[in-house]
Amino acid sequence: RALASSAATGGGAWRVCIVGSGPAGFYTADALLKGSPDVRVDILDRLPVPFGLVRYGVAPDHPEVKNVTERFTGIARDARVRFAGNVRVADGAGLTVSVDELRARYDAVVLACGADGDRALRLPGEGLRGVSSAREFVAWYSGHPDCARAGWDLSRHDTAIVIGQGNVALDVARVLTKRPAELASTDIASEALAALERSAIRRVIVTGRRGPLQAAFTTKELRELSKLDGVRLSVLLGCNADAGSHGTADDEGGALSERALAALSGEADRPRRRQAELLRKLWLESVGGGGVARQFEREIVLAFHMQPVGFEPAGVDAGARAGNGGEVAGELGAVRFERTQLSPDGRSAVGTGEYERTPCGYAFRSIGYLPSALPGVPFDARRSLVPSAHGRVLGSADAAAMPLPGLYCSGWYKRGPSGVVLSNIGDGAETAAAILADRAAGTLGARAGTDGAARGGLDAEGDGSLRALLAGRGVRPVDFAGWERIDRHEREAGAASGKRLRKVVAVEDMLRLAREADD
Amino acid sequence: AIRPFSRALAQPVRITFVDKDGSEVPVDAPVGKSLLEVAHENDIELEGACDGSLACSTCHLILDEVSFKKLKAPEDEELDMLDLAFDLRKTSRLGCQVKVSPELAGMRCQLPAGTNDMQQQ
Ligand SMILES: Cc1cc2nc3c(=O)[nH]c(=O)nc-3n(C[C@H](O)[C@H](O)[C@H](O)COP(=O)(O)OP(=O)(O)OC[C@H]3O[C@@H](n4cnc5c(N)ncnc54)[C@H](O)[C@@H]3O)c2cc1C
Ligand code: FES
Repeated sequence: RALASSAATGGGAWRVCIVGSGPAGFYTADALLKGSPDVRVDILDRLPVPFGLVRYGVAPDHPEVKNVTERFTGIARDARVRFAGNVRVADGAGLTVSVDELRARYDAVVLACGADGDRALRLPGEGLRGVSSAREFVAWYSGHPDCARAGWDLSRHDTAIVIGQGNVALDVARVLTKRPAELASTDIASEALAALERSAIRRVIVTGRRGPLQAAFTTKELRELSKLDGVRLSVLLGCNADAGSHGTADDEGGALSERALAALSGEADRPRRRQAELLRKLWLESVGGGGVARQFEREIVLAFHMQPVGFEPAGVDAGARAGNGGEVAGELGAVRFERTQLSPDGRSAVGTGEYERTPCGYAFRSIGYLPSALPGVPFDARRSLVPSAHGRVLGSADAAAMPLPGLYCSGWYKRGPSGVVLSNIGDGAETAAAILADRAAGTLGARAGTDGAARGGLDAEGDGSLRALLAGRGVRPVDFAGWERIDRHEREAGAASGKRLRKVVAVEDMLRLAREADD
Repeated sequence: AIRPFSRALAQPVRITFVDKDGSEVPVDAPVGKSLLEVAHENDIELEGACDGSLACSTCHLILDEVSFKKLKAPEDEELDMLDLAFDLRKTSRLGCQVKVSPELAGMRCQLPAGTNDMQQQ
C-alpha cells in the first residue's frame, strides 16, 4: 500500500502545506523533512513575514529567545521547502484561499496558525476606555501590522492592573516598568517606546484568581522581575492591594509556609518547590518592608486570590455607580475584585463574598489567546479548539469522531495557547509522525485520487496549482528571499538608529521591500 | 604552576551521547567546548534553540551521576530553565552550559525522552 500511494503521488514526491510560519509550522516541517526525503513542504502565512509569535509575542528584551529564528531560517532554506507570506487562509471568497482548496492540492494540510483572538472576561465595564487585552498591547509594542494603529497613551495615570498571571502578564508588567532606556536598543516598535518614555505609570498590580502555587508564570520570568533595576517587586498573599497590606510574617504565608514548602519534597515537585521558595523569599522581603532601603522608581505587585468582578468608570461617585445597572461608558477608574480562596481540590478559586476596589487608569486582560475557527474545519466552540487526536483533525468534537483524511494541526492551534517554544518541538514531531504513518498506510488526503491532473503547490506549473490559483486572485506571495530583503532592511535601519532591528510595521511597506529587486 | 598552553594542548575527551532510542554515540570532545557544540559537531539531534544563551532548555541532557558531581552546581538561572524541561532528573544539565574538561572523560550524556508541554500561556 505504501508503494501504491507513493506511485499515485507521482515519482515519490508528495506535498504538504503548512498554514502558519510560527514555531509549530517550522518544527512540523523539520520533522517531515527528516522523516521523508521526497516530501515537498509549502509554508503559508497571512503576513508577509515569518516566525509568528517569536517575532510578535516574545518580548523585545528577550532577544536570546528569538535566536531560534536562525534555526527556522535553516529549515526554510532546505531545497524542499517553500515559504509564501501574504497568503491568508480563510474562506476563499475574496480571502485568498480556503482550507478545502488547499486540501484538494496537497496530500496533507497542517493547520499551525496559532491563536490570534482574545478571551474576554465578559464583565460589566469591560468596554471602558483604558481596559484592553494584553495580546493587543504585546502586538502593538512588537510592531504587529494589525495593531499598528491601536496606540496607548500611558501618560495619564499612575496605576495599571494586569489581570492574569502567566508569562504574558509578567512580560506586560516588565515592559511597563522597565526603564525605557533599557528597551531603546531592542526591536520594540518606535511608537511604543515613545509612549513608554512618556509613561506616568508607577505601579503595576498583577492579579491572579488562585494562590501562589497555582500561578502560571515560570520561575525564570519571576526571577527576572525581581531583579529589575529601580523596580520593587512585592508579593501580596490575598490581601488588600489598595491598602498595601501584605499580611504578616507570623501568619506563616499559608501556601508559602515552610511546612507547605516541605511537603513539595519529591523530585517531580522540584520546579514547583523552587518557584514557591522564590515567592516565599520575595514575600518575606515585602512583609519585612524595610531591609535594604533601596530607591525605587516603580513598583510591581503580585497579588493573589483576587477575582475581577467589574470595571468602574472614573469620575462617578459611589452612589451613581451602584445605581447604574446598564453598560457603562467613559474612562476606567477602578477595578472591582472579589477575594477568593482555593476550592478544597485546589483547582479553582471560590469567591469569599469580600470585595475591594482598586483605583487604576489602565487594565490589561491577560487571560489567554484564542484560536479562531476556520471555514471548512471543525471547531469545538466550547473548548475553543480544533478537535484533534495526535495531530489529526477530527470530523467533530464528538469523542468518537473519525480523523478527516489529510488534515492535521500543530502548536497552539492544536493544543491551545500555552507552552513555550520548546513545547512545539514535540508537538511538531507528533503531527509529522501522524502524517508519515498515514502516508505509509495510504490514508492521506484525496489529492492523488480522482483527478490527479490539476493539482500541486507553490512550485507547480499546472492550471490547478496553488500558484495558479493565487495568481488568478491577484495575490502575490512573498517568498523567503523577499522576507530576507525585509529582514536586511530592518537590520540596516536598526544599526543606523542603535537598535537590534527596526521593524517595518505596515504591510504595504513590507510588500514593497520584499519586491525590490536585489541589486 | 600555570602552564599557559595546557588548554591548547589538552587531548580531546572521550564522552558518549545516548540517544532517545538508547543507541550510543561515542565522540571525541575538544576541551573547552560546550556539550551542545560537541553534539552539533557530531550530528546528535540536540536542539539548542536559543543558541546557547540560557533561554530555552532545548539543550537538556541527563548526565551520569559521577560526572554530574564533578561539575560545579548549576546556577539558579540554569535551574530555572531546567524546570521547564521534559524528563527532568537529578542529574539534568543544559548542554550549552557544560564545558568539556579532562575530568569528564568517560561521561555519558543521555538525551531526554521527549519534549515538554507545561506552564506559560
Ligand atoms: C506574549 C508572548 C510571549 C512569549 N514569550 C515566550 C518566551 O519568552 N519564550 C518562549 O519559549 N515562548 C514564548 N511564548 C510562547 C511562544 O511564542 C509560542 O509557544 C509559539 O509561538 C506558538 O507557536 P505556533 O506556531 O503554534 O503559533 P504562532 O507563533 O502564533 O504562529 C502562527 C502563525 O500563523 C499565522 N496565521 C494565523 N492565521 C493564519 C491564516 N488564517 N492564514 C495564514 N497564516 C495564518 C500567523 O501570522 C503566525 O505567523 C510567548 C508567547 C506570547 C504570546
Ligand atoms: S541552547 Fe537554549 S538554553 Fe541551551
